[in-house]
Amino acid sequence: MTLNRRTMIKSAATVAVATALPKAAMAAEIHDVVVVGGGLAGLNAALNLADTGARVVVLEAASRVGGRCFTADSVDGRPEYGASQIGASYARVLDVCRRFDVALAPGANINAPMCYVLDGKIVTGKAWASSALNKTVGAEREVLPQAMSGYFLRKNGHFSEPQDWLAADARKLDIPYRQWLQSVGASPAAIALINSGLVDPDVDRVSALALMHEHAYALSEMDSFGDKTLDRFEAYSRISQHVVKGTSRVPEAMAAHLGDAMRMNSPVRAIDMNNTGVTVTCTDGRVFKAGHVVMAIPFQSMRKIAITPALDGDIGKAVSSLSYQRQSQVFFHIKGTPYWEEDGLDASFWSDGPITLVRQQIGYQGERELVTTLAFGDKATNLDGLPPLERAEWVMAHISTLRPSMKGKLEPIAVQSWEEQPFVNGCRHSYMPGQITAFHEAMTVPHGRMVFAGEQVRRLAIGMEAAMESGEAAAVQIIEAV
Amino acid sequence: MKIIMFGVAAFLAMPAFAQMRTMSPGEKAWVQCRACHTLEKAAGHKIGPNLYGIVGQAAGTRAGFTYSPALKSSGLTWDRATLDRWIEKPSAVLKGHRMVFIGIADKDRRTALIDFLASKAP
Repeated sequence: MTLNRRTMIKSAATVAVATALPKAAMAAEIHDVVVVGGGLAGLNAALNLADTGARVVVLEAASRVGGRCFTADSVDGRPEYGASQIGASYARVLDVCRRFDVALAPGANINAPMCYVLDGKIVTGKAWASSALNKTVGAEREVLPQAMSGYFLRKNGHFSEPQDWLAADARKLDIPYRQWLQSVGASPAAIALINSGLVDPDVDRVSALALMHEHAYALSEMDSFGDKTLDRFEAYSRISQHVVKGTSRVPEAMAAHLGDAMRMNSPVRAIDMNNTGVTVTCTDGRVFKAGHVVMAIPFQSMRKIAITPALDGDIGKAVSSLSYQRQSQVFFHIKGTPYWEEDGLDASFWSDGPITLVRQQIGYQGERELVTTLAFGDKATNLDGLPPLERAEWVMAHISTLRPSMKGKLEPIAVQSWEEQPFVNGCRHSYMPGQITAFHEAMTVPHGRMVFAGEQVRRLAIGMEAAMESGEAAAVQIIEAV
Repeated sequence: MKIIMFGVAAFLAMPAFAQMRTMSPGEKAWVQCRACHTLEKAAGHKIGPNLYGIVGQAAGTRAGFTYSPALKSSGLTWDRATLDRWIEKPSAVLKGHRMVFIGIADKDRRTALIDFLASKAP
């Protein structure tokens, strides 16, 4: 009988008798590679490995694939809780969409223009430069609050191409963002605006180098593919694409192709490695053995797994200290007469208060039916102190205070916070000052039988493409070793 | 790289990676290229152009592909030496290109990859 994975699983008992394996191995599944994590990174690692004929198993803790790709299929309007933008240079995402016939369409994450609420008072974009609420200085005054960070990054840009962020001489920029902003002459008021709107915790707890990499990548896409006559944000959203039926369709298509390599509802509790192989144990006691393991989960999830021998040195530091952003979202259906016509203001707004963004989505057929509110960092954690229903009601009341035309015009339809998402507990990673220098390189090399993937192990790309790139690199590391 | 591979057979009932197809070093290196490029004759373009028969060709000349203005007007020829420099770091060869690629630092891997590319030709 031909030995393949299926027959090996069924006849595990026979195998054990024949080769006198220890009792525990009788119940174990045996593969070439175990991939921990069924997000884009893990799925792409698995795909690349499976394409070579390697026997792979993907252990996903949740009952869905995709990780931070999460289309809220059960919510009216099917909003995206996570990733939605496929950039023009996202070669690997585009390739899997083509390979598995996942339909894409132009545009992504398009929102109505914004007005601004500071100290509880509304000011329009047009009036911003001359407004008394605008405490910024000189040329800064012309820059809208949400564009202030990008303004300084572009004005003082260091990198001619994205990978320059990995060069040794870029490490001098691995300093607190505040310090860098001060060094390039940003006023305290400009820094305060940037701080208020930051997705990372604050300007002292994020590395300038990390933000420069992200900016350089987005800019390189714009240079290559963008319409320079448009506002940068508008131009970027127009060279991006979105998944017609929702971003989750991408990981789902990859998982469908992987077929019975997928194991859902399989959180990992322990990983033991020695010179003969890797033993991965799930929380329900199922055991998987392999030659190698790909860790494609957030590092803070990895902290819950008992890994022996323990990860030490720089990789140990990476796993134990890398932190993740927090993002708390409430989704509202818009009802009644258009509030933005009532008060004559732009339909979205940016605020320096507890909720940073109130975005009115413009649907791909021009629909204006959805408002999403976003709070980041400490503001998100504070908001999450309220249980979901109370949270939605609080946000609605808060918005109505800031902008009375919106009172009675919003119907909460969903509440979602990445910090609360099981097995993820955060959204994207956030490099604190000094961490890139301390351990970025360690994350990009194999450690015995273990390799690391996920957007946090980013090299060139950002976002979904970084996750895909990291999965491909992890597969290559194993393929090269075999 | 420090992956230790000995002794796996004592633990697995069949040799590790026994079903993985045999890949030359060049084919292994190609794994990093295939998201953006096809290599088979008459295969379509992806975000990058099809590379069948590329070794020795003039750069920026594949039919049906929209190149960056920089590459189109570069006057480069993809001889082995130029390919070697390009694969190591594209921007060391040409500014203003659109190939988003981190480069291959290892000379032997680049040579193996170029050998592999050269084998996909008429």
